[in-house]
Amino acid sequence: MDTKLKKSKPFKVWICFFLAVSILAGLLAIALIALLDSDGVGRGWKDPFLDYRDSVSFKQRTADYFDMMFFLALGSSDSNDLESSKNALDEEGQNIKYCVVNRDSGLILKNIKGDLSSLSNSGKMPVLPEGYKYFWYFDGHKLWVIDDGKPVDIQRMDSGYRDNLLPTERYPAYLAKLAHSQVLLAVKDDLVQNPYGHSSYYQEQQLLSAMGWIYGCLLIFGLLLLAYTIIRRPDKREFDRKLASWSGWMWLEVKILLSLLVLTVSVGVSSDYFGAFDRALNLQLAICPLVLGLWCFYLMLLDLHINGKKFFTHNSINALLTWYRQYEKKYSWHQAMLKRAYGLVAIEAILALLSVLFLITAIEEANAPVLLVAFMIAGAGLYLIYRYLKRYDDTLGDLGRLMDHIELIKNGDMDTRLEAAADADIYPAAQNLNFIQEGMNAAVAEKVKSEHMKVELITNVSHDLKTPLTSIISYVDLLQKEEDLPEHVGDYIKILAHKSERLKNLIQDLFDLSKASSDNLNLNMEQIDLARLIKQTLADMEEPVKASGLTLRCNIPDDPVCIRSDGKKLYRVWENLISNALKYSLTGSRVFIDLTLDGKDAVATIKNTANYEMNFTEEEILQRFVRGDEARTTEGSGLGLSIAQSFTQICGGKFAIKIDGDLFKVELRFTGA
Amino acid sequence: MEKQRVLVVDDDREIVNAIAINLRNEGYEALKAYDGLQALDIISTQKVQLIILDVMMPKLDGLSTTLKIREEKNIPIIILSAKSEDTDKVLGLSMGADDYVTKPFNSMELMARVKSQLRRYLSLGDVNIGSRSNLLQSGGLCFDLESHTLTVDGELVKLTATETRIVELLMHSPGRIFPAEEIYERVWEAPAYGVENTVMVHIRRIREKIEINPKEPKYLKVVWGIGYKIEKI
Repeated sequence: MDTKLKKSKPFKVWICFFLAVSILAGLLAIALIALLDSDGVGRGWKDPFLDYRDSVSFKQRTADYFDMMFFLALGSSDSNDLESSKNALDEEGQNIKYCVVNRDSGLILKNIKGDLSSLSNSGKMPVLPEGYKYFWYFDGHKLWVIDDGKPVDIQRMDSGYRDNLLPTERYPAYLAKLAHSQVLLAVKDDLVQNPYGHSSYYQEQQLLSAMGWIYGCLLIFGLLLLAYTIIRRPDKREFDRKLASWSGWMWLEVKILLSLLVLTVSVGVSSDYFGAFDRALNLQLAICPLVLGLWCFYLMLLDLHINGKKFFTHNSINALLTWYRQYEKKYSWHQAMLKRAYGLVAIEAILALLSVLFLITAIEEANAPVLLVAFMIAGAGLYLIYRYLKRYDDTLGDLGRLMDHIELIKNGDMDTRLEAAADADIYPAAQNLNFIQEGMNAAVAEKVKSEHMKVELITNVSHDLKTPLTSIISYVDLLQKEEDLPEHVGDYIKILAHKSERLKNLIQDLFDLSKASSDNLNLNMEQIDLARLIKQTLADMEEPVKASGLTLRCNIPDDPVCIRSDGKKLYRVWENLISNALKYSLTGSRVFIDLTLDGKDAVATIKNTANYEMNFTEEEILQRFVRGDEARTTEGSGLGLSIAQSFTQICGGKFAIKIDGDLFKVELRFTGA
Repeated sequence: MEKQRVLVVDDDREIVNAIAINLRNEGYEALKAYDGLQALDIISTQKVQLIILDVMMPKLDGLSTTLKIREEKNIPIIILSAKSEDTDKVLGLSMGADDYVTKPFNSMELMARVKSQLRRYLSLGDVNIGSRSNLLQSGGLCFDLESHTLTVDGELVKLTATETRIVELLMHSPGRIFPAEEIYERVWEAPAYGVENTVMVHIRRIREKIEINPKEPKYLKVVWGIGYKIEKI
């Protein structure tokens, strides 16, 4: 506890609570013990609450004095004893009147006037001065205790005298020696202070009455403190939580040991028996460990309540396991696993050896506890094996899940997370896998986003390009209609018209392509006949085909080849492919168009012989703006193949290009419907 | 005869000017507006026979303007837009426009469309066509079953005998898709075998005669991979 915390309000409130409960519990314990002590044979627990004359302390003190006088009467003491006894009795001053007479030895010791000899064997009680109603009297045969003229039944259990009875009662042999002795001890009704000495009676009476007051005050104080604590409940609870968090650091075993220690001390102290004069002190000394035990119990309950399961799990075994896991972390997974297995074997060997040793000893000495120890060691060994196997089983299960999860990621699931217990052996691997997954997720999201933005940009740009282009085309058109222009100006205008037309086509292609790759093209998927579509396209392009001077060799079945696709988009694909072939084929060569069925798939190919050297790869030609001829002199946007590829793919087909020497081949593959 | 008035609406002044020049060259009177509100203003004060309307304009866009005009007037509207998607065209036409031209446009084509829309609107009028039972009609296409003649926006189109029979067949059920074999069997009355090319060639020739822009046909369409049809308008 640091000092700052000590000064804080919760701490103060909690201290109040502590005091209140301690005081009240102590008082309650005292009250309970006093109540149970009704037979008077106890240790004077009740004394502070009784009239002094009824208290055990009073009776015992009187008995002690009487005992002393009795032994004087026996005559076994020397003159020193006589003197010290007389001094002890005189310390009481007026509070006692006494008289010891032994006519056999001639001993007379008294502070009263008159003689007891006349009463000898008369059976009469002595007459004492006014103010001394209570007295003990031994007439040579029997002990009388007279209170206010009436004899007290000292044999009763609850009289409070039984434990303090004279030796005469215990040792009848003395009685013969005392046949001619008389002992009298009277105690003053109202005890007073002795100005010439220390009256033990008076002091004890004062002390006990003060104790009564103290108890009363303590009760009120305790109740007040308790009331205060109840009002400041939240503060108390706050400190409770702090206490629980501190005690939570302790291992369960430590808590139990500490509690046992406190309880043992408590029992030990309370069973100790102090002298009669120290009874009041003794009482509190006995209560203290009791209250301490109570607090131990309270702290344990608090711990259990606030820390819950941790109360049990935070023990030395788990701490050891945790430490071992930390230790394992320093090594690679493989080494850690090996170490664990070797460690188990070593410990098992030691335990087996120990248990055999104990077993042999137990049999040889026929000692049951040793046998029990042997069995316990064997049991611990078995438990350890069980724990190891269970752990091994868990790890194998986790490994299986790990592999399944990797499979899942391979298949593109980026959202499912692999959950693994924090203390599992594969936990780091699972965590790392999750991180990889997150990273890939982020990368994919980023890529999609940037792709989307790129497409958006192209769409907007091509859109914005169209407006000025409209003006350009419109005015070039107007210029073309102008007459009386110089011939060279007419030529310039022709070039302008030509190039602006080309720009228009370029923008449109760019726009289509960006739309297709952004996946927000509106598709109209229906059942179509691919054979018919190719024939229609060829018929539609009859004129450019004728103009090219190339021969088309078509091998298309008459029967329908049905696929599910978007006819309009697919027309664009074939238009692009055919015009591509027309544009880049060697003059006079042949273009082959085939449509075949490969199982359920419809496979369409178009092959042509290039009129230039194709010094690029299949991938390169599909990249946007890469054209077959690098000089880029011919017409076209260079996007034809890219558009064909994108459209084929969004229409559900596969698009492949093969370059073999001068042979250029495109293969489209559709799943049959 | 009084000159026909055409209102050109576009927020790009140069484009409006260019179109206006072309219109004047063709003998029309051109009115100019630069946003939807101005256009509505002019329509309410002057008599206009046709409107060329841009879609993306400040204040009031072309489509909203079309809707407003259609609330009270039946003037032909040609929408002019940089958006070239099919869905945009369908949207424009469903709003009540009569034609849709994408930017950048060809002046000749635009003028042809203006001409045909005006012809249809002024000289014929839609009302008396639909009431005659011996006429097959779809939009501006009109086939007379008695005389076996085809008119496009009121203008007679010269067709060969085969072409006429193809058009008659398709016009009987506008919107229906005819495979090449069916067309061949019913028009040529011979078994069809490998006829795709033959039919396609005829279709293309008809298209060149009836369509303003054969590359973007309005009436006679190829349904790729299936057959041919006349659009039901």
